[in-house]
Amino acid sequence: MRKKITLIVLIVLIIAILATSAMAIREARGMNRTTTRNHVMAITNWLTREYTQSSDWRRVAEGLVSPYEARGIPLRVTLISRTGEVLYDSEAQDLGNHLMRPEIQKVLTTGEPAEEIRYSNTLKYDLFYYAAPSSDHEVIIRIAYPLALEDNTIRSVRSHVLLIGIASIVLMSLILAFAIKKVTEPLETITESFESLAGGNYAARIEESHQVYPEVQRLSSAYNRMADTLEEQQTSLLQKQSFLDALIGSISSPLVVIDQKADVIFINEHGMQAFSRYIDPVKHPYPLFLLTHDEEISRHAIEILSGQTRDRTLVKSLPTSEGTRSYQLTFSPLHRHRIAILFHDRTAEEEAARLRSDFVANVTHELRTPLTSIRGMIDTLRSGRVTRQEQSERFLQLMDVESERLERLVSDLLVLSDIEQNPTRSYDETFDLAVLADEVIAQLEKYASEKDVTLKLSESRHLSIIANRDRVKQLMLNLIDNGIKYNRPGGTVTVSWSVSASGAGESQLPGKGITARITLSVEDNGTGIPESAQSRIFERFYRIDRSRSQEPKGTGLGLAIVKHIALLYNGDVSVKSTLGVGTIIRVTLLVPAEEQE
Amino acid sequence: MVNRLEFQEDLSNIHRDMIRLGSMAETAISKAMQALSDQDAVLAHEVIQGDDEIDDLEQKITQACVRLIARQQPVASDLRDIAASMKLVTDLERIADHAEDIANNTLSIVDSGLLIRIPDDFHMVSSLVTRMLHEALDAYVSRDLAAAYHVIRTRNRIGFVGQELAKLITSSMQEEPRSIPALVQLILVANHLQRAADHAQNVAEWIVFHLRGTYAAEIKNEAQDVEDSGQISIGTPQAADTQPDRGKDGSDAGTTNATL
Repeated sequence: MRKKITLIVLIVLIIAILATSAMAIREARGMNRTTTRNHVMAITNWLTREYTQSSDWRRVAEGLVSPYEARGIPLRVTLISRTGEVLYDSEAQDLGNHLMRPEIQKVLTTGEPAEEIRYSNTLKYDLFYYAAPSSDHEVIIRIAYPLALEDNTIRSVRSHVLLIGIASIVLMSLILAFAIKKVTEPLETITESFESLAGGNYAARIEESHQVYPEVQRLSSAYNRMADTLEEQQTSLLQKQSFLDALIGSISSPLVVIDQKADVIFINEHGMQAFSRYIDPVKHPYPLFLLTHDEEISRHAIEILSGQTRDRTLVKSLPTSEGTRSYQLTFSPLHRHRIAILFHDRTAEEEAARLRSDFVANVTHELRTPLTSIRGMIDTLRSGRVTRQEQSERFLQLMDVESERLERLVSDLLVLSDIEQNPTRSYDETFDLAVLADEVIAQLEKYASEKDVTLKLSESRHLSIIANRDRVKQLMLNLIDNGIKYNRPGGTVTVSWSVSASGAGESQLPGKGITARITLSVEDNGTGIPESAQSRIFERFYRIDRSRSQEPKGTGLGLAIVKHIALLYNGDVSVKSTLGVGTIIRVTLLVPAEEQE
Repeated sequence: MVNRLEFQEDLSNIHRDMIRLGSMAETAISKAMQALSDQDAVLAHEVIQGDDEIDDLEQKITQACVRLIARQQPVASDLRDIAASMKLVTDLERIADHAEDIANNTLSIVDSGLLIRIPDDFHMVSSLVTRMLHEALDAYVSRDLAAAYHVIRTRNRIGFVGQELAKLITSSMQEEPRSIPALVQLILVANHLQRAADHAQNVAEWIVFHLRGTYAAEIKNEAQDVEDSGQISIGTPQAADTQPDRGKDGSDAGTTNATL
């Protein structure tokens, strides 16, 4: 813009100066000619007069020419007769007949003075000829005056004009450059601000008070207001963005956004991990199929987008990095034909629900079996078909066994539910593990001798621990009882324990000593547990094979209770068994403990 | 310009179908192996039935490629893209075929009524194959050359899978001659797994060709230079670097047959 303005102004200026100088030169030339003409006419008239009055006209003429020659003006005086013969010439050259010269012809025909401007071939410039007849019309006096002299004047005028012109152009250019700079500089500042704004710098502002021109000031203030609005919007967008990022980051389920072609255009971190696809879909969108390997999800999403279905949920089993998992998919349509899909992992819930219903079914079954036999026996007794005393006595004995089994089942269930509901009552007593073990062994001694099993305690050191005494006693009771139950006649059950540092350091109970890892082992040399069943023996109601449950020895809850109590003390249970050799069940408990002498 | 848009649209449809085919092949292999380890006849039937769909998709992609060449006469990288797609589709379909074969072997094992334990090495190899395919698809989608090279290197690290698995099974046969009919099927499964791994390597090589315009064999040395984590092998370790290219042309000939 700056260049264009400068160019235009300069061109206009040059045209103006050229026009002015042309006019000036023309005017000067016109004025000069008039002066020359008047001057030549005056000299001629004077010479004409002198011709009649003076006797020695020749001298008069020479007297006239000489001062001109001294000044370098080649003034030429010629005296011509009516026949055209040259009677006198101040320069005494070209003395041929002058009759045919146009100025002479004009004088001869009109009898009046005549003038002519002619280019002189010999002198190479224009000459002004003025011819006038003498009063008797006998001779014609002609004066030739060089117009070249006049051009000299013009030339000097022209050079002056040129000089002034150049000077004014230079001056004008300087003024122009300054003025243009004054106008374009603020514009450039504003342009730069706009450019930085476009580049993402929302903080740049223009100093309004520095602006001279009101138009530029207005533009600057408009820019500043725009930048303010943009910055505000940007800040609020960033806030919303970070809010959304935090929100999406906190969703611990896979979240996927797809477009109308069912191509993934966004996936959160959890989604990438779950399906182990670490492709950035923003750069490389890919079909949802690649993620889920399931046609129906893509189809369902497209149906929702096209309005064919209003069902916004779908339940699917999908292959993931952690094996097949069950997901509940929630579809939320977004604007511009996009749809967000949230994958809610229901595997654990389904597993829990399955376990719960299995548990209820098992409990119902376990409760009904003894009840059914009790009722059957009551019916038989009532019908009066049992007449013999010893027979009815046997029935009552069986009913007693069944009701005892019922009682044990109910009490085991109560223990389990108590463990689940009151986990806080875990560390409330200090007691000696060795004393407790003795107590339990004494309690089970009778049962063991009935089964011809020897009970052995291979530990005699006293170990004081802080825990719930009833729970630990229950744990030992169940373990040893289990060892006796599945032993063979003549077998032994050995109870032992070891203490090691838990690595957990100070116990979570302040002031109650160091948490120790107590490993309690109960070893029997019974039938052993098949490998395939070993991982399941701690499940509720699991029995190694169903045929055994026909002749039930326990409630099926004993080891489940053991496991629950171990978990209560951040411990674990493990089993090592060889068929026909025996079984070792190890239970670890993390409890505050202190060895005593 | 309209033609160009149409071309891009058709090409992107081919890519989408290719990704679908790849995902289906991946699912087929993992399902077939799942069926084998659970000796689940229903799942095996599912894999065999699913193969028809895969075959249809393969034909569809091939036809789309041919039509695109005929109608748009692409040149340079576009032509390379289509050429690579036509090769890719064959290898992916072959992988799915091997999944079908594994499913058939599973059915034979189930029919024989012999319960056999599938050695853990099978699962390791099958998970490597599915992972190779998984990563190859990643490389295809994200146009990631490094990921494609990684797949090729993984195959190099697996080494002579079939041979090692066969040795393992042969020793089982000596221990338990009663299970031989089922174990023979297991040897065939090992062979199919090895071929599937070869095809997965081919897939990665065609992706390299698709992205770079050079054959992966030319950069093989490059890839092996990077390889320093050693070779995964079953039983006794073996040098993988000296092996010739297997199944490079997608055929089943070559060392794979010599393995058994």
